[in-house]
This record gives sequence, structure tokens and C-alpha cells, in this order.
Amino acid sequence: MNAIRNRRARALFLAAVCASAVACNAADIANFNSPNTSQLEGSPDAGTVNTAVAGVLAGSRAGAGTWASTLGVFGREIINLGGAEPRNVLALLIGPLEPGGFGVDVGWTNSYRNLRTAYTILEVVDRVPDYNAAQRSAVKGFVKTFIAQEYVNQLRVRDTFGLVFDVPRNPAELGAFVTREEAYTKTAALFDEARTDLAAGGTAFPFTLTTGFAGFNTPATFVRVNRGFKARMETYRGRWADALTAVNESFISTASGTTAALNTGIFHVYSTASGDAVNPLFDPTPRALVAVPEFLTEARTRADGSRDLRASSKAVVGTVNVATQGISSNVRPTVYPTNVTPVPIIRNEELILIRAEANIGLGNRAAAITDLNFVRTNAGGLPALASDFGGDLITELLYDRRYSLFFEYGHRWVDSRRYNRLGELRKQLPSHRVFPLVPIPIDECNQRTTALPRGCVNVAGN
Amino acid sequence: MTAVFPRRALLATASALFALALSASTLLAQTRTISGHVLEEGSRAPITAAQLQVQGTNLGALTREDGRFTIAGVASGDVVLVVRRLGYPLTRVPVSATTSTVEIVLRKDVLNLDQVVVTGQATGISRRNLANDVASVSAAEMTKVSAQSIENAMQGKIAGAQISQSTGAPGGGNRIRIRGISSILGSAQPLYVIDGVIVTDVSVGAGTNKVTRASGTSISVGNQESPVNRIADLNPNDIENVDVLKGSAAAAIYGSKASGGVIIITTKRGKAGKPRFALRMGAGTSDLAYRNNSRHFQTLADAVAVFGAGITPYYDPNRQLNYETLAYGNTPLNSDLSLSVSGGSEDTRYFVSASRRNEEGIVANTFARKTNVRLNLDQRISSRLNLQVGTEVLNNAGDRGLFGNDNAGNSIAYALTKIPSFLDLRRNADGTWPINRFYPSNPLQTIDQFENSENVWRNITTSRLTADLLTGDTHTLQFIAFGGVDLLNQSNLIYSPPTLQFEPVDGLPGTSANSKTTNVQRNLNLNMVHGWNIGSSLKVTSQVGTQFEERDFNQTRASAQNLLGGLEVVTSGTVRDVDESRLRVEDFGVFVQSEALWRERLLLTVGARADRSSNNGDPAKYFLFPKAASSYRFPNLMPGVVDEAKLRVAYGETGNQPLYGQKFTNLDLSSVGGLGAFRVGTVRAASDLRPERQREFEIGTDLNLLRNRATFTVTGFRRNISDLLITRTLAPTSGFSSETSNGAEMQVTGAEVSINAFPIQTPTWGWTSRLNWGTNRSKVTKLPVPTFLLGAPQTGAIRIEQGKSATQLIGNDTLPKAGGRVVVPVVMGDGNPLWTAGWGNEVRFKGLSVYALLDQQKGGMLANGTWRHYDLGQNSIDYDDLDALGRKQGEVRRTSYLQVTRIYYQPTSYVKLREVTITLDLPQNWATSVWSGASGARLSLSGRNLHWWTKFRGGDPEAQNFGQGGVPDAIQRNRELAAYPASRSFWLNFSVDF
Repeated sequence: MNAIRNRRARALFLAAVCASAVACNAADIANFNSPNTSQLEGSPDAGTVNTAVAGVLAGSRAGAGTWASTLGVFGREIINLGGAEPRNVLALLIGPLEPGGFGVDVGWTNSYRNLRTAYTILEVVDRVPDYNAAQRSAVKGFVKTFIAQEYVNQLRVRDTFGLVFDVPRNPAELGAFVTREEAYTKTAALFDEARTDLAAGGTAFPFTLTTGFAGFNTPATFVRVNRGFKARMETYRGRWADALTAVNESFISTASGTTAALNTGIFHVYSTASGDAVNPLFDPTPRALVAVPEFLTEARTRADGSRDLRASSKAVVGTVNVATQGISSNVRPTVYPTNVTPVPIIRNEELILIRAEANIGLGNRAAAITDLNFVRTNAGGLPALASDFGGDLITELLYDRRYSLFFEYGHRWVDSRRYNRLGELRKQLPSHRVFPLVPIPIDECNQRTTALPRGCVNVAGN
Repeated sequence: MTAVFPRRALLATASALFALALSASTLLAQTRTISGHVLEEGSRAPITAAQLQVQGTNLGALTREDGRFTIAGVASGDVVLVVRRLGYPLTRVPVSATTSTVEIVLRKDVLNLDQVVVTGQATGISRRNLANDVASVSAAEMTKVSAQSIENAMQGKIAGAQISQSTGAPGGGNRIRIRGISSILGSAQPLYVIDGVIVTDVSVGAGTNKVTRASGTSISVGNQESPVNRIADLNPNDIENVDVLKGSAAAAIYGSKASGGVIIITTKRGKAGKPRFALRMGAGTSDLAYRNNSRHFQTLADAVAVFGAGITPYYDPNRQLNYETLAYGNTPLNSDLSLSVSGGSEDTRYFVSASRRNEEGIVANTFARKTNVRLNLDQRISSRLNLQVGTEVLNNAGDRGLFGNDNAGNSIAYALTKIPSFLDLRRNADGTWPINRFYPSNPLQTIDQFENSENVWRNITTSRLTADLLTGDTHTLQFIAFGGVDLLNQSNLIYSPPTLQFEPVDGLPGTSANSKTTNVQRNLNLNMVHGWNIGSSLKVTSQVGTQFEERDFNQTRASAQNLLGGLEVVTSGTVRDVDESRLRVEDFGVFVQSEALWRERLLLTVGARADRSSNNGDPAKYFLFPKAASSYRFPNLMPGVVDEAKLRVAYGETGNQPLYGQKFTNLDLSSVGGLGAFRVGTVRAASDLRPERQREFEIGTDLNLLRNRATFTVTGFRRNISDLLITRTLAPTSGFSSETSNGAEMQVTGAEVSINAFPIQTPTWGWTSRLNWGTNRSKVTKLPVPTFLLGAPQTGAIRIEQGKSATQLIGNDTLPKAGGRVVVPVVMGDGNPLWTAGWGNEVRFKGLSVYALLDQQKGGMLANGTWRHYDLGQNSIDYDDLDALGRKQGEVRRTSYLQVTRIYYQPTSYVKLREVTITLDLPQNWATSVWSGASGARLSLSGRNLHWWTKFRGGDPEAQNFGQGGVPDAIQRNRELAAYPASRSFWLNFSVDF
């Protein structure tokens, strides 16, 4: 009897101990849904850093839709008439653009987020045990090129408002705003640093690149992309000689005038695989994204009376007339015929136009006319300009850039601003406005109330 | 060594047992038997299942069906019988040595003064002595009118609780805010506890985001998909009582999970006796409660100005369709059936119930169908060991249509704002649907073909073991273990067939999204409770206990687009997406408390809970949450006027845990052209996250008035909440969007009043009246980060700003400025109401009673999205009305709203006729003449939300688009947008007991 009770008591006691055992072990439960940044600190392995480099590409791609669509709206390449989001008209066509308003972020957050990932890589790359020296250099060169590219992305949007160049290691510290000119100077230096790194980068990148980099996926070939970016940036600040030097070191080629040759370059690629992204500019019906109607009517005519091939191949009159708030368009862009069509980052056709622009700036009219003609005859099927053409070459250049680079990177708006021709952009209604630049987003302004950046103002437009 | 302790304890227990047995056997020689019956005052109806106990002994009995009882073995001297019965005050009846038959008459405790209210993890105290303001809602009040969810049944019945229905969709979807806001970022929903077991109130989004693109392109964005918060799964008919621990002073026993308040649900249990059945049958319908109506386009030119020249062939000045009638005009046939049986012996008692509630929506093809089966079993294993178990299995299925925010032009209520009344989108004679050439979708087709189905299987099992280790006159010692499991299994299927107009828009006709969610919650509580009677006037109850809880949440989602063959199955799609998320939390807490009651007058309680959680930055660290409370009763203060008064004061602390994963800075995963990619996440975490801490001080008084015909309760409270989690917005140039950390502080001050009265109580006439009123104000007292906005000023934003209310709503206004005008964010008002009140009255004349409940909210504000979208679609009913300057009002609103958003910020004051019931008790003899087994039958006609008075335009002032049950719930609840419209419901009920 006593023994039984004893056993029971012991069992009861053990049960109590077991129950309270959970109290002894504090559960340190991991994050099941995501790796943590701690994996990218210290001395991460090459695989982790390679994956983060792909993250920089992903970050760069995340901005691509914004450049083509939002800047496309500002530059009257396209309009967004989706009925579900009326602010695409109210805010982006009528305004004013306000720091806290709709659509003002224009990639700001994404660009700096990408910079954070990129700078984190630069910080650890020298400590990656399984990279050799050349590989470290190659990673630096590639990542620095994309860092510089993010600055260019934002300078196009914020222009004279400037931007923050330094991304402090401690996120609680604020990086200083610098003027546009200073930002350009530092960005140019960064492109050059990247070139030096790439030159020491050996024969191959340690990471894999997407198919959008075919032909430019080694340090030796990618450096020519780096020069293309640099040339583009130099035209933005009007340093024509530097632009010409850089573009001639890029992958520019007039060996062939085929579409494929003009399209040589690097691209953001998309896929329908889970976790990947599809082309955000793809809108086949269309539901929201339509071209401005004058894109077709203002295209020049060819010898046979038909329109510039660049217009007819990039937009068609569709069956759906999208209308909202008193404006409408039935012109459907066909630049992205599928949801996995790549979006160009930079390609040969633009490089040729960059060389033409640099030559115009340097007064080399003949060289410029040769390049303009190369593009407009091959891509547009238009008659060539006479070699002694005496008219305004800037007008010709901007026409070609408008049609050659339609709906790719928001070029028309940036070009119109550079040449003070924003007034030539057509407003659909008298209440509409054209904005020269975009304010700094409110979240940035709110953190800097003691020294408010000059971009923290409304932009009313003209 | 380990064996020594139990052996000793056993020895002590055994010797105590022996001594007890000895004393029992020595007394055996001189015992007697007491018998008698227990009756209700007035009606003299027998009271069954009353529990009688000879004071100071274990002897006792339960009254039988006829109210009679017999207790044998009673000591020969004078004794006192203690009579306990739910709904009647605890009564002590002295029985002299010479009496063997007693008649005990109990007076019905309408005021619930003797109801036992939870004050410790395993103990409670009678309401008469309670030192906190704890609101209770009884079974009878819960089931006045058939409700979608138990929260709906509580609307207007609890002082200081703001209960709002986010969507009118069948199946529920509610938010509760008790005593104002308690968190900025954390969950503000209360903790739900059923029979001692913590159950989940999780809200799981359906996956409609894949279609609506309300936010990004992921499969689900839970807080914009108007999900059901899962407490709606419970069956109100099974509930015996609901206690609401409003503030920290009362809720400290739940430590770091309780700062949103605790709702304690007690289910019905069996009573000894022969089986008693209760059958309730209800049938009902519902209809649209509010219409926005739409613009009458007087001329073709008006139509062309909006829709372009393409509208010409569709324009007909004589056709004016009301799309709300077409879309929301379904006349449902709803039913609510339940059958329960209870009974048993003194040792084994059972309660079994089954119910089925089927509600269709006012939108065709939407519904909620809930089936619950519950078994509660009480078993007395021995005189010292009691086991209670309860288990409920339920299935809750529904379809909620496609509503709420959208960016793809397919949400039904959203699309309705954009359709001119002259455009005919009704189904063609051949069964096809007309294409809406002026908007991406035809909402009538969407209603017909879109499927948003949800199916929940759930099991809640609870158990409680009570062991009386010691039952002496001076010392009692109880071991109480309780715990259980809440197992939730939810499936969601979104099927948007390729034939829908909006489907081919992205070039991928057909979308399907299939989600599976399981949530398992387990907890185990072990307690020792020691009672100590020191003399006859002081009683001290002490307890020490532990609580272990774990939560496991697992969710997988798969979606597909471009469905080949139009199949629902995800494998038929060419573009697929998968998504999985998991969560696991382990919490452990230790609780000690001591409660002293002196002469049933003075109550003193002190206690503390120490909690640890894996969600905290340091999972091994304990956080201490103390409490203290005291009350003093003044019985017979002014007999007849103030029969009793009680003063009470209480202090307590509770916490609010960080959310799972908040302590990590993520490396976000994605894929770029087939390459795996890491990006540094957008939210930076602080690694030392700890629970938010709420310190509440509560003071109040309870009065029993006019010969106990009324109670008056007034309570004031102030809570200081520190260590508030804030997601501080970082400068985007840091590369992060925000950083989560503790640090802000907030103060909430408020008061509550409730009055319960039954001024008239005669056999012919009866009148009961219950009034409650509550108010609170919040103030951010410390904000270590710059003022920040949550949301966008154009559509509804909250500004967290030191020294200001935490719920101030911000919108844009245009103010004059030197050289022009400037658009600035300004305060529009406060989202929190000034006060809320509920007033319920029941008047009875013989067997006929009429009951009505008014629910009122004064103040508060909501950013009105639906009306705005009517304006933006240039389609609002008053669009063409001219303002003072001769301009079209709608045009002015539409073009200026980004700069002057004030027009769409509307006060949400309302008075709602929440519940109405007319009940006829069928005469007993009539009932028995129809069927001899019947013991009572009732017929009633009832309605819910029958009418409301409000100046809010655009539907229901309770509706909202964001944050339901989720995060940041406290803050984002002030934006209304294209919700499933609210409805009125009507019921005809018949119930019979046998």
C-alpha cells in the first residue's frame, strides 16, 4: 500500500518537474521566415555575398518601372489613366507635387535601400574568405558601378534639389545633402573607381549575372557598360569632352544598323517564376498605361508617307479608349509585348545618340549628323539629314531621343529639362502642369526639421 | 534527495486524511439527516441544482428537479447550510439542532452581486467584494438577437468598450477597443480566454490581394482583405457568461498579454437532473441599410465630359439604374438553429449542444455558415478530485465576395462608384455579361462569378482538474491544473475565372489562390491555492501558479494566373507564386497572489506575475507585473436608499509583447531572373525589444440602491503606458524605412458609469433598464523620435506627436501664405470618440416582453473613402448641385481634395438601434397541451442594427478598410473604403424547453 502511494507520489512529482522543466529552458526561437542581416556581417562566405550582389540587381530592377512610368508621365510619353487610382492624374498631371503627396517618392526609398545593400557588400567584401584578390576587386567594381547608377537615377528626378551622397553606417545618423554639382562630381569619381576595380578584376566575376547581361558578364566587358553609364552622366552635366571620351570607351558600335545591333546592351530581366518579378510596364489591354495620343501624330513621316518606324513599332491605336477625369487616349504602347519582356538599362542606340549629343556640344556638327542619321535611318526608316544640315541640331537630337528611347527610362522629361524645353510638352487640359523636378519625400524632410533640405517644398509646375 | 520531499508531503497528506477519517467516524455515531426544498421568492418555483453545503464540512447535496434535497450524516448540533446557485445570492441558513426539514427561499439575483468574478489565475471573488470594475454579460443578454459573432452580441453592453464592425460581410469582422487605445504598433485586440484556455482571435487574409493589388503584388495583404477575426467562430448559445477585464488593474493576472484587456468566456455546464433540452429555431432575412445612390447624368455632354466620346451609344437619359439595388439587393433566407441538452447525476454532469447558423449576404453568393458541437463534462472522481472537460468542434465556412481597397478596378463596392446609372451592365438574355467599356470590371459579373471561399475547422478543448488536498476548517489547500488546446485549420480559395472582364487585363486570364493556415495554441496552468480562515472574520486566499503557453502558426499560400482550361487548381496556371510564413512563440509566467477578506467587508489583494517570452529581445529575461487592490463595503448604509456602498481602488500592470519577428532585421529574399537575391530589409530592429508596459490606477464606487433594485457603478482610471513600441520612420537615405524600438509613452484617462435597475418587478409588470457610458482620452507623453505620420494625409493619416492625442487625424488644408497658398497637413479631428454609451430596456407585461438596445457613439472621425471615390468617378448623387459660388459641388470636391481633404473627414457620431426583440412566453398550459413534454416555449421577433441616426455620409460609420485585428490596429482604423455594405437583419424565433 505504502509502496504504491510512493510510486504514485514519485510519478506526480516527476510530472510536476517535467511541467516546470519548460520553465528552465528559455526558448530562443529563430526567425523562420527570413534570414537576418547578421549573416551578411562579420566574414560572410562567397555564396552569401554573391546572393547579395544579385540583390543589388533586384534593387536596381525594382526602380525600373518607376523611371519609365512616373517620369514617362512627367515627360508626357505616357499617361496613367487607371480609374482605381485617380491620383495618377490628380497628383502627377495636375499637382502640385508635395513632399507628402502621392507619387513623390519616385524611387527615392528604393534607391537608398539598394545603396544600403550595396555598401554593406563593400564593407564585408575584403573579409570574404573564399574570394581571391581579383574576385574582391571585381565585386567592388560591379557594385560601385551600380551605386553610382543609383545616384544618377535620383539626380535625374531631384535635379537642383540635390541628394544625400553618403549613407552612414549607423542608420540613425543622417547623411548630408549635397548640391547637384557636388553629387555629379562624386558620382563621376565613383564610376572611375569602379573602372579601376574592374580592371583588376581578373577574367570572370565570382557571381553569376542574369541573361540581361549577356555579352557584358565579365569584368573586361562590363567595364564598357560602366563607361556607357559615365558618358550618359557626363551629358547630363554638359561635360561634352568627358562624355565623348567615355562613350568611345563604351560598347558603342555602328558596325551594324540592325535592330539587334541597336539593342545590344544590358537589360533588366523578368520571369514568372515564384519570387521573381514580372515587367511592371506590361499592360496589354490597356487598363491604365497609355501613350499620349500625339506620340503617333507628331512622329515624322517617311518617304512613303508612313510614320517613323520607331513610332509605329512602339505604339498602336488600340480598340480600348481609356478615359478618366476628362482626358483619354486609345494609343497603346507595344514596347513591352509580354510580361517578361526585358527593360533596357542602357543600349547601343542610346550610346550613339550620346555621342551625337557630345559632338553637338563640342561643335562637331558633321560627326553628330552622321550618328543621328545612323539612328534615324536604321531605326526610324526616316530620310537622312543632309550632311550640311544647318538647322537646330538639338531639336533633331531630342526628336530622335524621344522616339528611339520611348518608354524606357523617362528620357524625354529629363532631356526636355536639360534643354529648357519643358514648355514644349503638351498639356492635355489647361489645368494640367509640367513639373521641372520632384520634391524630396516627406519622410526625409521630417527627419531633418532643423536643417530642412531645400527640396522639401511643393513644386507647382508650369 | 528528490524522493524525500514527496514522501514527506505524502506523509503529511496521509496523516491529515487519517485524522479527517477518524474525526468523521467518531462523529458518525451522532449524526442526523436534514432535508427540505429550495424555492424562488415570489413565484415559489422549485430551484434545481442548487448546491448546499454544511458550513465547515464537506457534506452537501444538490437539489433535485423538484427543488428538494437530503443531506445525511450532519452533526447533531446547530449547523449552517450554505446555499449556492448561479443567479441567486449566496445564502446562509442556520439550522438548529432540532430542525430536520427546512424551506429555503432564494431571491433572484438580478444584479449579479454574487456572481464570482475572476481575480486570480485560479480563483475568483464575488462581485459584492470585487475591487475592480469588471463588466459581465450574461447568456440571456448575449442571445437577445442572433449575432454573427460574440462581439456583435456585446455591442453597446459594456461600459468603455468600443466595438465596431469593420465590414458588413456575413461571418463578422470586428474590432474591440477597451478603454481607448493601448498601443501604437502592437496588437490592441483583447486576449480571449475560454474556460481558462487562451484561444486565438487571429485574422487571416483570404488572398484577394492577388486580384485587387490593394498593396503590392503578393498573394495576401491581410489587413486590407477584411478578414474574419476568428473569435467569430464561437457559438454565443454555448456561453454562460462573459467577463471583461478592462484594464491592467484587473488583467494583471495575464501579465504581458493583457494590455488590450481580457475577455473571459465561461461556457455552460451541465446541472444534475434528468436531461433538459433547449431547442431554439430562428429564421430571418436582411437588407441593405444605406444607399449612396449615384449621379443622374442630365445630358450627353455631361457623360462625354467624364467618359469620353465613346460613351455616346450607351447614353440614355431615361435609364437610371440603381446599382446598389442591383448589387446589394439579394434577399437572403437566414437560419439559426441550436439544440442543447444537459443533465447528469451529482457525480457526472454533462452539457451537449449543437448549433448551425446560416447567413446569406445581401450580395448574392456571399454567405457564412457555422456549425458548432460542444460537449462539456464534469466528473467528480472522488470527494476530493474533480475533473471538468469541454470540447468544441466547429466548422465555419463562408464567401465574402470581393470588397475593400483595390488598384486593379475589380473590388465590387469600388467599381460601383465609377458606373453611371444610365449604363446597363445587367446580364444579357443569352446569359453573357456586357463588357463595361468604361472601367476594368462589371461588378454584377464579379458578384456572379468571383469566388472567395473560406473554410475553418476548429477544435477547442479545455480541461480543469481540482484536487482538494486539505479541507480543514482553518486551512484548505487546492491543487488546480487547467489547460487546453485551440487548434485552428483554415483554408481559403480565391477563384477569379478567366471569363471575368478584368481577368485578361494583365494578359493572364484567370487567377486562383489557395491558402492553408494552421494555428495551434496550447497552454497549461498549474496552481496551488491555499485558503486560511483566521478566526471567523478573516479569510486569506493565497495562490502560486505557473502558466506555459505556446503558439504555432503556419501558413502556406499558392497562387496561379493564366489558368489553362479555367480550372481552380493552382497547377492549371502558367504563372505561379508560392508563399509560406511561420510563427512560433513560447511564453512562460509565474504568478503569486494573496487575497485577504475581512468580515466580508474589507478586501485586500496583492499579487504579481513574472513573464518571459520568446518574442522579447532577451527570451530568458522575466518581466514583473505587480498588482494591488482593495475594496471596502458599507452594508446597510442608508437602508432602502443606499442599501450598500463599496469603495474600491486598484492598481495593476500588464504588458504587450513585441510581435514575432520584430526583433530581427531581415535579409529579404527574392529572385532576379532565376538568381537568388538578398536585399537588406526595410525595417531595422532593436535587439533589446521588451514588452510594452501599462500601469493602471483605477478607483471607483459601487452602490446598491432602493432596496437592491438598482446598482450604480462609477469608475475612473488612468493608465500610463511606457516602453511603447514605435516604428520610428527613418530617413529613407539611411537605406531603411523604419526602425522598431521601445520608448514612447502615452497616458489614457477615462471614466465609466453603469446603472442596472429593475424598477418594476411584479408578476404582471416588469421593467429592467441597463445604461452604460464610457469615455477616455489619450495623450502621447513622451516621444523619443520626431513626430511621425502613419498613413497619407489625403486618405487618412494619424500623427503621433508628443503632448497630443494618439489618435489625431491629419489631412491636408490649403492656407494662405505670403505670395500664394500652401498645402499643409493639419489636424482634422480625433479618431477616438468623445464617449460611447449603451442603453437597454426590457418591459414585460405578463408573458409579453419588449426589449430594445440603443448604442451611441459621440464624436470620433473617419476618413471617408467610398464617397470620395464617387466624387472621383464624377458620379456622386449631388455632383451637379451648385455651391454658393455657382460651381458644381462634386467638381469642387474632386479637384481640390488633395489640397483640402477636410471634406472627406467626417465625424462618426451615431445612435444605432442595435437590438430589438419582442418576446411572447407561450402559456405553460398551452405548451404542455400541445406537447406534454414541453416545459416552456417562447416566440420572438427580433432585429439587429435596424436603424441608425448619423451625419456620416457614405455608409456605416463603423466600417473601415485597414488593420482589422491586425497591426497597426490601434492606429489605422480610421479609414473607410469600399467595404461590404452594412445590413439590417430581422429574425423570427421559436424556442422550447423540454
